[in-house]
Amino acid sequence: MSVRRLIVLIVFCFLLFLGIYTWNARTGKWDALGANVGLEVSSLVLRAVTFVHDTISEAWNRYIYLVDVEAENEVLKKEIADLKLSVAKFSESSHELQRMRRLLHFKNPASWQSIGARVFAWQLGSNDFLESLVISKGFNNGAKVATPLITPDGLVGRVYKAGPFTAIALLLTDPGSSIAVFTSENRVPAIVQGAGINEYLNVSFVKQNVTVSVGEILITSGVDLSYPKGIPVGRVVSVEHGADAMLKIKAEPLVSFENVEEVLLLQNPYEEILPQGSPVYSPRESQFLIPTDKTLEVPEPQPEMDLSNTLEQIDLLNQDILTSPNIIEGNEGNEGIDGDDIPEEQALLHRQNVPNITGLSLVLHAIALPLPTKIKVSLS
Amino acid sequence: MRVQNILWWFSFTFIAITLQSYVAGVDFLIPGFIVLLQERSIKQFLWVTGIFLILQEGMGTMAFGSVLLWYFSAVALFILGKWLFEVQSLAFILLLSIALSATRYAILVLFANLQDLYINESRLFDYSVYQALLMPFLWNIASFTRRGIRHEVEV
Repeated sequence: MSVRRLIVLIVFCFLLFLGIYTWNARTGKWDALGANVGLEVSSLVLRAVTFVHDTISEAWNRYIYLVDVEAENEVLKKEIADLKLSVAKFSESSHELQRMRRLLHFKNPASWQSIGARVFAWQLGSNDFLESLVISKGFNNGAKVATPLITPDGLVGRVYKAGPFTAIALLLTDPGSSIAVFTSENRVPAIVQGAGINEYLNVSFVKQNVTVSVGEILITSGVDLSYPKGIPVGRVVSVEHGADAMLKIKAEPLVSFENVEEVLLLQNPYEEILPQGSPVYSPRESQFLIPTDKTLEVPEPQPEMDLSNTLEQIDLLNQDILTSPNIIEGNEGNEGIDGDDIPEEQALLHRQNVPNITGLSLVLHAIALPLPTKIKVSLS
Repeated sequence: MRVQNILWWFSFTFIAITLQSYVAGVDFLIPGFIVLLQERSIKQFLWVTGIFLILQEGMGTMAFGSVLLWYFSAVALFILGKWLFEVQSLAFILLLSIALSATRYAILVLFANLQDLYINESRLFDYSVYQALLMPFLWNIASFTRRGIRHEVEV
């Protein structure tokens, strides 16, 4: 092959690549093919490997490695007795809570059903550079894009990419993950953003004149309808006064990600009224910075959706959530929730769409819902 | 012995995906891709490359493009290296591994910027070093186990 032909071939291939890249950026068809075929085929391999691994480790643990089983049995019996006591205690508290709700005419929040899933792998593949894990459920059985993942310790992340029966979830430690939270004791709203694995989480948008204590638990606020209210996210480890008007807060995740083997997928009861394609990943350019006097270009509404009706429903649900108790039972966030817990600034923003820079950026990054019109943002 | 060839590629892909689930950030399919290039069977190349591309694109979290561009750069570097080296030699594979890892680093940084993704560049550098170190070793094993089958393919 002559040099001239080779150059022509390379240029042709490059143009072809650009064409396919642009086509995929507009339609997402290649990505969908990859998720539906590539991810599924890979998961077949992982399922087979997991099955063999489980069989061998089960045989080893059950029939061969029986050291300390008797001592462990005694400890477990004692733990069961303690847990029975706790259940009895919390059962009474739960009944009391139900009675109080009825008395106060609180609506019960829509329940988030949970589905269990197995973790297959971490950062599978050479093309995976986000903090992610592969789970054994896909969009056909409970792991649609944006479905939250939890463990008994707290929040893990959200589904980022879903095949029919396998999905990839983005961990909350990824820098592209942003979550709207409250502090559990002082009810201070904030955004938690990942900073990478083995790094503390960044807690942003906390004004200097509020109180946040070291050791406080951060819980999901639920204002974005993407997470149920009250899931523990992290524990505050440091609070410093920054150069700007905000506190510099670091938090540690409650979940030990290296040891996660199973997760629960929470099924969003608001899914039908939420616009489709709610982004899970917050791109770098939009991180908490909205320039003054800049018109935000936001996607046009989907033609098949009645957005006016949808936004009304979201507004109503927001108000429900803002005034409803925590749905995660046994969580500290259940206590003492009433209308006063919601900062007036945020409540106003939800109810009247007042262009407030702090609240707006909080909501844009936490909710990440495509709004139906252009929004003029200005600092006054 | 087509069945033997298909079985070999099936086993290779199975093992590569399993290894990828244990070692993050390393492409275990690329040594097989180099073997494909060395064998010069167009039909086999198209089939297996298509499968590799769909698998890697599906397993990854980046949008389409980076894997295809990297595999394309592997072809370009292979053709370029063929003028200067004997393609079956270990020296060629060593240099190709280093060049491919450097190309991969550049492609991923470019695509992370294009797609507005955060990317930990020091970790990406580590992954590229692992890739460069592991590739000759994996190619050697793949090439060794294909000796009998390669003859059949070439005939």
